Amino acid sequence: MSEKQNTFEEDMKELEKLVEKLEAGNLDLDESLKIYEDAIVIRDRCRKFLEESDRKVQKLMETAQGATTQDFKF
Amino acid sequence: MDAPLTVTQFNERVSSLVSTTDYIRNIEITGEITELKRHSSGHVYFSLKDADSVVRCTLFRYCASRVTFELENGMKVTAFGSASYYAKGGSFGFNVESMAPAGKGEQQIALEKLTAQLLSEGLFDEERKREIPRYPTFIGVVTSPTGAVIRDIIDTTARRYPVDILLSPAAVQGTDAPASIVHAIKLLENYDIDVMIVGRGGGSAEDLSAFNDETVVRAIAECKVPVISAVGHATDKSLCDRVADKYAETPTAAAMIATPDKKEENKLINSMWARMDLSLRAVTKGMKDRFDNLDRRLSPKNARDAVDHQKTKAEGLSVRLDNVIDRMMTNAHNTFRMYDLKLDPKRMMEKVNNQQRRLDDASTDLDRAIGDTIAAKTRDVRELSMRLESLNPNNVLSRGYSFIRDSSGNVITSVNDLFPGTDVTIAMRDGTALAKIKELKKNE
Repeated sequence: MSEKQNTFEEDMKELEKLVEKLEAGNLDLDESLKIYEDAIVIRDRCRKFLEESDRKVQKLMETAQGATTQDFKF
Repeated sequence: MDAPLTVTQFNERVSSLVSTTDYIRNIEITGEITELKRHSSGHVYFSLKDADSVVRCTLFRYCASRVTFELENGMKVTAFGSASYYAKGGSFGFNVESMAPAGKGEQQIALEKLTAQLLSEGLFDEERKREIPRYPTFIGVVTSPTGAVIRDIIDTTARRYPVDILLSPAAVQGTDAPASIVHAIKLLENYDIDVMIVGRGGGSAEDLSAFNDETVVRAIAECKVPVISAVGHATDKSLCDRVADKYAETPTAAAMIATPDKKEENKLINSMWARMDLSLRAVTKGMKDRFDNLDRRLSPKNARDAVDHQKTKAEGLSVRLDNVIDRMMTNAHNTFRMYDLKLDPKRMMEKVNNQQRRLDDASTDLDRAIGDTIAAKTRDVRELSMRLESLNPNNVLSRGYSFIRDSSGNVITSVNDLFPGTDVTIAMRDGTALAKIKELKKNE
């Protein structure tokens, strides 16, 4: 599993997959615990992402050199 | 010249003039409705316009209730009423008492024509609508940078979901608006946005014309990413609203369509987690059941049963072993009896007696032989004894012979052992005599 690069969407899909895998059963305790542990990592990453507040709000500016972006404030 | 009028005095004079001039009272005006506003008080405000001019109109509640058709912007009407002047604000207007439709306005006709054209092209078809991505990372917004629209969008998304926003500023009203909006859309398309919101915002709420412009509608239809339109209101949907992939009544609603709600997402995570827990519990329960089963099998009662079972088995084996041993013993016994028969005491005694007899016989023979031998030997001894007696020197002496010993007791048998003068002892039958040798004469 590529750690940092996963988007929230990918993580949510992965989490659902792990849940379904565990629900399907047919796994021994070791495999089940492995899935559970992987799921904890993804779950925590998802929760952390939702609490993130440092997002960019930018404005497009047109200059002689073309369009650029700059931080947007009211 | 009189002293200057106050503003109030002036406005009162105008008001008086307007309200008494029959020329502008109880007349009909035909024009196209624009800037239509329904106030919560029930009064309706709008303007009537033609190609060159505009006049502000007021339809008071008691009159509005008598209007039997739905007023719409762009609608051509004939209004009956009188000119009025609002002295406090210094504003001129027309108080409408009754209204009637007067055919379609030119703008209305053009709009209907365009709508028909776009409909025939299928631009408003539901099949064309694209899905709004569930988890956007980057949202583009086309609107005025100064209006409440962008503020509402930023605030709403900030509350709901972490996402970056890029504003592409556009003039949303005025003659430049359509070109400005199209340009803003095209600029945004160069960025890696997931979804675009096109919002009206700013300026007067009435002017939808830019969002009914064909170039704007087509720019939205051709947009590379799904578009959420937040232009009109429920009563007057713009063509942009109809062509967009999603339509929102307000900028806030548009932001809500564009973003998931983190509360819901957290709930989803929690519910997935509950399923996870349940499944893991099922797995561990399965393991526990297996252990319990083993445990039960290892319980004292079961152990006793197992032991009993083994005992029974052992007893079975024991019986079989006994049988085998019995058989072996019988065989051995038979063999023994065979030997026993062969070793019968009576027969053995006979054998022993026989041997005894033979031994007795041998013994008798031996006794006899020994006796014979002893007798013979006794005879020999007697004979020898007699012969030995005849050889006794004393017997010889008695017949007249004597022998000589030296001083040491040695018997002298040769003259060579004697010297003249040697003392000797002469032994005879009845005693001895000491003598001294005088002379020696050797036999020739």
